Amino acid sequence: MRELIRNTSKTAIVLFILSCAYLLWHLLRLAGLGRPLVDAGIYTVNVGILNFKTVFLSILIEAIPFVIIGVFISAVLHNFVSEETIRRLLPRSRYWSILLACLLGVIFPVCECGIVPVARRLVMKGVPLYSAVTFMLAAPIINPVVASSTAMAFAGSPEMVWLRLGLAFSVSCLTGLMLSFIFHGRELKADADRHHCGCGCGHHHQHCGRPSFAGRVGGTLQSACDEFFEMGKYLVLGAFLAASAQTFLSQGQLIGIGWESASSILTMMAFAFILSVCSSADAFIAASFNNVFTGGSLLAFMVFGPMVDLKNTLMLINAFRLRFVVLLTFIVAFLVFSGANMINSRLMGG
Amino acid sequence: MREKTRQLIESGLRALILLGFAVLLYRLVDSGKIVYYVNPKYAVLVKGAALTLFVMFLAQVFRTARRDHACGGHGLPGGGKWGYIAFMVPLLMAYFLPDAPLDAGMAANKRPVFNARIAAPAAGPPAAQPEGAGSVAPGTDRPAGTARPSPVGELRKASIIDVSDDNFNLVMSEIYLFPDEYTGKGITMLGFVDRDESFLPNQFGLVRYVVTCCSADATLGGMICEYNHAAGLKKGAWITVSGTIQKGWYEQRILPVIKVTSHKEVEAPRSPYIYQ
Repeated sequence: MRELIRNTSKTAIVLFILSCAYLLWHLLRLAGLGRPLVDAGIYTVNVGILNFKTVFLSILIEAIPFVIIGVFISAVLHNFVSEETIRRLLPRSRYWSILLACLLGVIFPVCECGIVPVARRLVMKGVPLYSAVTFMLAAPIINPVVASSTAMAFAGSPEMVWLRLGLAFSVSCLTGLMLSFIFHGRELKADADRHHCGCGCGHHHQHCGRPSFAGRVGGTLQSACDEFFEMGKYLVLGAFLAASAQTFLSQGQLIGIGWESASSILTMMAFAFILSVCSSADAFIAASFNNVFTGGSLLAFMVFGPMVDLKNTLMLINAFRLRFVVLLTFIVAFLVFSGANMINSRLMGG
Repeated sequence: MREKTRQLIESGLRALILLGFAVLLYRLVDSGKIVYYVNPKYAVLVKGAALTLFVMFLAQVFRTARRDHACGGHGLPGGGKWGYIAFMVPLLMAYFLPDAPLDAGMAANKRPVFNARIAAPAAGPPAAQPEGAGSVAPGTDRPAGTARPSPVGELRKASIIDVSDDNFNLVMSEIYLFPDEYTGKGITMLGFVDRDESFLPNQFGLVRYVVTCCSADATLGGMICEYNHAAGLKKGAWITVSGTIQKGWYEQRILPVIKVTSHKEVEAPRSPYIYQ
């Protein structure tokens, strides 16, 4: 199984490099010859690549601060909070801890860009897998920032806010519950534990043993840095794919799918997956499709996107076992799809 | 020995990447070109990220200098050193390609929104926000009376509407939601020309990108213009038009359109998107 994952990511990286090579060729041509033209305002020369660059970098620039916040939270957890403390804080009961995980986003409004490292660290620290995953699914949606931006985008139909929050809540609760019965282990990739003291590299690290406060601060910086590189490359890869999809796929092609319930929901879910925009902005994109798609499919877009999208899936595959990521994606997709279908039939039935 | 060299190269690459991103982010904010990429309200966040990356760079250099081997130096899972190439690509693109906003070429991929952008105007004066939101949402149970002394009230009284970056969203919501209130009024507006087969020969779209967080979530907003000289306008050209608001046809719908009386070609604005 591990071989398979290795190979998958290797193939992904090779594909990535090939497409980069193509872009680099453009880039060199442009750097050598095209630059004066572009400076002179003749954009038509390499319109595609400049737009691509703008979208690609803007996704990265938007995400990098949140990824940094994420890896630092993770690093602080790693260096300053012990397993015992977390165990003491967690509720004993499975149901309470899932419920708590769902609502934690209200206090810690985190964006989905930086949440995978935090979730992984929580699992490493002994938080049950289902609680950490529930938190990872719920926090990017069930928080005040996202609620207010949704309310702004759908000022004409305020019920969308409650439907979005409600759907997100039920999907993450149910997913957490299901996972708690299916998986009993941690489902982390074996080499994810490498950053612990026993990393097997035969050196002694500063943060091993009983470090001083300064040592811990240093250790925090180190593990944040390591994790930034580990997660960051999947972020870059995801941003790259999302930007290609945006530059070379036309949104107009989506319109043809139209009003039919099931297919429009699936389309919007696929769209959300590819687009990988931030959860506080996706409501505005959904609103621009207001007259084209059903309410249920817009909700599917706004709930599925923050939970499962391209860049997060890549990061998840890096952190957790493949079978777990596949099953998680499947469960979430199924729940969102059926929830959106139910909402559609309610909305249409009156 | 070879192992050591390899680690040294890897640490060097890391330091270089961290420094590269730190400088890139800082320069973008400093030169104001950040508006091509993300909402300027995140500029502080981006600057903070630049600073943090710089601290991480210093830590990395310090670590390498002390030969205190990084765990990550043992080939990171899923890609190993190839992962660093992934970081190099955006950096190379950022430094070697000119910074440019999204242009009309991208517009072909987006669906122009020729109806109410339902968003409230966040860019307007802060007091205007609740009233703006209340008045564009006739279905809600907000007291309509509070909306009167607001920008909306001024807009409805004005005989000529001057669309600016600050009131763009408000004006668009108002015109599309209450077309009758605005028919016959004069209007001046800046935007770029959008064109495809959905327009009649004498029509073109005068549009702007409306961005919430980053240019990846840009949507197109604007109005349809009817103009006798429409054929002479180049797609993607920035123009200001003046004319009157009338009812017109587009894709079998009756919509408010601008009957253009005159236009002027202008430079692309410094901040090309409408941020909300």
